[in-house]
Amino acid sequence: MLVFSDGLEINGTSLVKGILKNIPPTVTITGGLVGDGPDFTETVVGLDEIPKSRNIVLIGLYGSNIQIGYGSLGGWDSFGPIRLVTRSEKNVLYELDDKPALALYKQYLGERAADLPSSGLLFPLKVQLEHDNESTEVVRTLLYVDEEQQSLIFAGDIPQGSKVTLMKANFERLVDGAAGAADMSKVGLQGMDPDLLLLVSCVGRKLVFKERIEDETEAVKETIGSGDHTYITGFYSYGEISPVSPTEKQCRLHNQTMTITAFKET
Amino acid sequence: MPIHKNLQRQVEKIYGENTPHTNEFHNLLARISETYEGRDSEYQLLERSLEISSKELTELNEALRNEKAVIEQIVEERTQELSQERSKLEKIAQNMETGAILLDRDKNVAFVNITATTFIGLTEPLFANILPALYEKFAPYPLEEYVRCCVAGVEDELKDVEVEKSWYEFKFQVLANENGYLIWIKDVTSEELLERSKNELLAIASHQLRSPLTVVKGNTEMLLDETFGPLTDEQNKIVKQSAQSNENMIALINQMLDITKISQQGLGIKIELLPVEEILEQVIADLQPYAENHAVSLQSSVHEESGICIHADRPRLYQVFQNLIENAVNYSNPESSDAVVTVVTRTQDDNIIIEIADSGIGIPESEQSKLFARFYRASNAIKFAPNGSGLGLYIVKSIIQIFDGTINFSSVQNKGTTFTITFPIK
Repeated sequence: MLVFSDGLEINGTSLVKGILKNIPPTVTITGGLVGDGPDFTETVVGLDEIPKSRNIVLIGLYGSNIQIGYGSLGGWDSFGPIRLVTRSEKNVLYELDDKPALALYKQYLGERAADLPSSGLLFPLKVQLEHDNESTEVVRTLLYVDEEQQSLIFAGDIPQGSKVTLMKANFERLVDGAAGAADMSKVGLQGMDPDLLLLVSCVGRKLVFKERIEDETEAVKETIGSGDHTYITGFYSYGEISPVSPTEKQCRLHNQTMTITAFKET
Repeated sequence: MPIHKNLQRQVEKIYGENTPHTNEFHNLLARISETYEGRDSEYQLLERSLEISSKELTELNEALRNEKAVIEQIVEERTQELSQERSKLEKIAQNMETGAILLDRDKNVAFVNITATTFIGLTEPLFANILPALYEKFAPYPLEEYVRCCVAGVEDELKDVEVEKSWYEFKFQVLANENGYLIWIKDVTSEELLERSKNELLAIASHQLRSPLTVVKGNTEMLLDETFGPLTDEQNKIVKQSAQSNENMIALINQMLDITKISQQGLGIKIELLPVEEILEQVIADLQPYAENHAVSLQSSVHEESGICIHADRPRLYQVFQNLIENAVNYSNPESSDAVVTVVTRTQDDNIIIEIADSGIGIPESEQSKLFARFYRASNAIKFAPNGSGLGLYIVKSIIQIFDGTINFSSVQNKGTTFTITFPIK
């Protein structure tokens, strides 16, 4: 099932949880929260209509003649000490190690703090999620800052008690991440060349690549290796939705990744 | 478009005034410059990150130092408090009237108070000498064995320890978490002497009282037999009342004499193997007329020929059963049309259990714990039968204990009471 959702008016974590709760466990969802570049003003979605804000579109695909593969990878480096989330509420982070989160975040950004929230796209958080004694890592992108509350609002939940680390971009690793996601997406197609690739890439990545943004799509194309037989489409997002590995069905909200869904009709 | 200064320097060094001005060359320089700037920016970021971490570590170090100073201060104060507390407790322990010897986990003497060393007879108490001196002083009693059992976790008491005309009581205690062991020594000489004088006085008084009462008994019997001529109805009534009061007085004095004998261990008991159920059945048969007079049905389920024997003294065992069954009859409600006393025996493990149950006035719950105390009578029993002495159950329990038995009861007021006696089968 493909999901295209408003990227600003919705909590991506709750969206994924809500959809998963109401569909059979064998159905996989991929897609993303649409973006508005570095502006964070308005995001619009539509199906057979003029796209508008506060819209969510779900597209279900089924049938024995369609094969679908998916993959999602980031390529960001973590830096600085691991910090404990001492106060948060859903996707709003108030305190890290008992200190106001925004002040600490600004200290790391230095002069780039003046460009918040857009400069925050370059410094996401790696969050370690503990669930049933298993630890998984997700990346969370900054959406807004609240100067009054000294808080940071992210594109997904930051649970209180979890451990987080700041992340920074590394050009080469971002390109490798895109190629890795393409590799993962091939697993589901069992060796067949895809007819169509849907690329959902985080806006943060675009800000890092700037005019060299085509490097990541080229890396995907090269890895798929089917030349002009495969159509490629997609968008820059405020959140990506996909399972964490090509063989798993458990979907999560990701940030700062290249998330690929590959289709083959036989 | 300006390019990174390092790149600019290299370009000037290599090309000088011949720098190419093509678009491709400028695009290449722009991309290389961007990479330079990216690296610079990353370097600055990592530098800032290190600076923040370093500052935080310094602050943390400072906080830890302050915390350490505060903790040290608290520990110092607490140590002083504990030391004062310890010295206070030591003073109390030293001046206690009870002797105390504390053994540590390794069974070595860790503390002994002056009272204990005085009892043992040591003037210069060296810890190493305490236990050997203790065992020697109280040599006829196996104190070493008691200490051994205590360090193995068994708490115990030893009473009536008589040495050199002094009497002592010992208590062997295990401290919490087996942190040590305590030996308490109490000098009970004055209490013992007082008790002895009391019993002697009681014995003498009882003997002295019994003689005139026996005379009164004989005289009243002769009067009632009309040995000295017929009595009018009124005279007969008064003499009968006097005879009954005299009987009550003799019974009371007998009980007091029993108590004296029990406390002096001089009941004149002859322990032998006895068929317990046969004796019980005999008591029941003897008390049938007594029960009928009180309109009480005395029922038994006793296996007279079971052959089960216990170690006991025949007259005293008879006395125990007689006392309990008489009580059961006495405290049955005469107004009840179906007043019943039942006696049942059964065996359990290696014991014989005898249950004597009545449907009488019962014992109030708040008074049940005092029932076996000397001279104690339950409040409802006093109202019901004012003449009892409150000594019967005390004597019964004392005798049963001499035979290695136990006695317990369960009771509900206005419903009845069941006494349960247990004796080991021999």
